[in-house]
Amino acid sequence: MPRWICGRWSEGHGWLYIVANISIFIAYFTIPLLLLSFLKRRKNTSFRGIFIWFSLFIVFCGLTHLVDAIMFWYPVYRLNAILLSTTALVSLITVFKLYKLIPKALQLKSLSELENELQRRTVELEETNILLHKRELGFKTLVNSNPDMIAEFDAKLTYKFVNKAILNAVGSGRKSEDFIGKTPVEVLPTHPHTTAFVKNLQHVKTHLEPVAYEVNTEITPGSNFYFFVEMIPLFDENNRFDGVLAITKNVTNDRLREIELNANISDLNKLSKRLDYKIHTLQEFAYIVSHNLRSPVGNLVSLQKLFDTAETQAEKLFFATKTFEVIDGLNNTVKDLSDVVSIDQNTHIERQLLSFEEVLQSQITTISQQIQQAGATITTNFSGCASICYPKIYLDSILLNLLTNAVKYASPHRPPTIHFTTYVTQKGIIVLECTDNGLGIDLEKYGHKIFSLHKTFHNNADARGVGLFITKNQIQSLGGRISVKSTPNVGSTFIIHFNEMDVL
Amino acid sequence: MIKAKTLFVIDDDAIYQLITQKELEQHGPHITCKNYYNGASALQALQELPEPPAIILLDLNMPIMDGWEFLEAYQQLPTSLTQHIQLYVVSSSIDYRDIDRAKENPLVSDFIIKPITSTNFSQILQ
Repeated sequence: MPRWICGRWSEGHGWLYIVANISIFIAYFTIPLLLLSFLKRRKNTSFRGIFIWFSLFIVFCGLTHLVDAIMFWYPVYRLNAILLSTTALVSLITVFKLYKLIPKALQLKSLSELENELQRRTVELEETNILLHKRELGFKTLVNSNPDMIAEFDAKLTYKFVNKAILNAVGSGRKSEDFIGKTPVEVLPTHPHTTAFVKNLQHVKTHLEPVAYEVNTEITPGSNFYFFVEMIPLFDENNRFDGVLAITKNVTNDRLREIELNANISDLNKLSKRLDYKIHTLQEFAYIVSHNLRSPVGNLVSLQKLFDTAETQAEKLFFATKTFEVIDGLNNTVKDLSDVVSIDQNTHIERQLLSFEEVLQSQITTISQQIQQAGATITTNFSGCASICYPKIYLDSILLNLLTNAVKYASPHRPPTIHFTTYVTQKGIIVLECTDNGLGIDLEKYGHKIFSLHKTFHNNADARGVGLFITKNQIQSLGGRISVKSTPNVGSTFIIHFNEMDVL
Repeated sequence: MIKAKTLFVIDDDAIYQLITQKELEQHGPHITCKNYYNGASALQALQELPEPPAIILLDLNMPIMDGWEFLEAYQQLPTSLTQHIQLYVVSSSIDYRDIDRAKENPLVSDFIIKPITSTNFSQILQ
């Protein structure tokens, strides 16, 4: 039954009760709304859960008051019982939640505590800032006073930082601001280094790996500069590409020293080769001297013994005559050897520019009679190399010897034809070739001895075996080489490499 | 009775030939000395003569056919002809390459450096 009936309510008393309950309900309904709007606006508020439980708890309390008022007209006791028990449950849960939250809530700092903390942190931050600034200054000084050119690029490969060394190297009053935010092409479009530099920057960006390379740049005509460039990719905290650090070292002095050192080593090697060659030549000469002097001297000793033991005047005279013959031969040998010694000593004999054609023509004139008698035809092709810087007496002697040999050792079956030609090899060696159609030489048998002293290969009365030996020594003393290709009864080609030592 | 001995002296040096002949004459009348001025004529004689020589003295440096070429041809001769011949290379070369090359040849008894002495002759003729 409605509450108005069940109880002794005065009009005023009853309505006060009802109005009070409804007011409480309105207030209890509004508080959670305000709380929820607060929560909505301050999203980062901790204790969100407890706020919601509080709201539920208050709403349910408000509802019990509303039902309390309604009951004056409708006796909804059963609904009230359910509502009350639900309110009790929500209340208990809220108590439990609150109880569990208390230790956490105790940790929350008070406002003044927070203010102190804030101040302390601000001071700390300022100190750190000052330290950071100092460090940055130190770092900048370090980078700026570094003689290497250091630049930092951002992810778009435009300048982010350049040090003083770069500004000094570029010159013309450029400032750091002229670089920042621009690409190397924009800042230095005409620098000989720029193209390679940009290409390598791109490489670092694409492959995300460091690059190191060296460039040789002619910055001002005639002065070579060598730079060693290192480029390192930079990454941000998320490991994404963030730019490139480029360090350019001027290694010109190192390189120039290295080049000088290499030149010295190469000179030493050349010298060592020349010495080896000289030693070899001297050894050969020792053999030649020994060989050519031992025989006649031995003969002289034996002849003297025979002379001493000879019984008749006629015998003594015979041995004396033989002795004079040996002495004559010995005299010639010593003269030939002296010629060679004087060649080896004359390595600094004056050179002059000589025309092959002119020198050859003068030698042809010298032995024109022999050439005419033999009916020899001489042809030349000096278009490959018309002249050479060489001692005149040597070139005279060399060409005369080649010419004389070709005429002397002509085939009896055909008139001699002699062809002279010159050319320059890829390495820059001047080569002279003299080809004849004469007797030829069996190189398998005589190849190793063809340029030796007193070696003759044909049963030729006026062959003394001196010419080619002298020729070889003249050529060798000036750092050249003579070789021969030959087929018996077809002809020979003598090949002279004049300046082989120069290109070792 | 001392057995007659024939020597081939192969050398282009006429004075050396003369001296060798005189020297050998002093070692007895049973020694016959034959002179050749290059390898070719000596080789021809070896093949034509009824009896081979006991000893050959071979120079190295000669025109037409030198000592090395002679040795090559000599090796091709039948063993019956060469087996009892003592061959000495006699040269004024002191180049070790020549000396080694000669001594390595099994047909060469020894390498004698000129000038050849009386002692050398005595040893050879024993």
